[in-house]
Amino acid sequence: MPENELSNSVRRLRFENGQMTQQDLADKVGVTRQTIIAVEQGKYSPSLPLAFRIAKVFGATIEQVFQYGESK
Amino acid sequence: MNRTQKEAMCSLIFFTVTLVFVVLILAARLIFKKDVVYITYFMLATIAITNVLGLLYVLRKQSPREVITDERDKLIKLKALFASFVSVMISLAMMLVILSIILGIGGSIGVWLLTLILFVISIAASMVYSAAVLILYLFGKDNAGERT
Repeated sequence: MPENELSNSVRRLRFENGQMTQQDLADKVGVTRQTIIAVEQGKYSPSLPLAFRIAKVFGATIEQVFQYGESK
Repeated sequence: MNRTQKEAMCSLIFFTVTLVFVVLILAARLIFKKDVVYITYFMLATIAITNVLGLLYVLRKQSPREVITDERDKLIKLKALFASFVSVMISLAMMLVILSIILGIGGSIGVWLLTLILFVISIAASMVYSAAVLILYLFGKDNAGERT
């Protein structure tokens, strides 16, 4: 059975947006720093509202931040 | 470490200490028939101090803008609550089986013993809840998107 995986570019986008720290991003989107760490490591897939808030902080579309792919 | 993790860690320590003290006091009174009034006071004071210190640690903010709880915390707490509920069910079932084996089908136990069993199970359930929160934070792989 194929496994659906959500990858993201949050870490890269943080560094491209003025070396933003995880705490800064967490404060801007209203979550804890641990949640940002989990999202970056792929341990946690954020809810749709949180994904939109993260994309909004970077001034990017949701597809530019999160990529959905299928792998075996 | 965020507030949910701190809460879980402190309550795990608190409930472990409480359970150990309860077992020690009961062992002293029921098995060794010793009067342990002063030791009981000492243990109660230790529990109270542990509780106050834990509360101070939990309430101290890392930064003024620190978020108290978020969607991942809620998801983890929900899973931990389920784990705790399952542990209560298993503990009660095991307790009933053990008691029926020891006492027989028509056997009976004192009300105080039943209260004690429920008290210990509730402490154990709280420990399972706290441990589950900590484990899910360390090793959990959640997928909120697939949940809905």
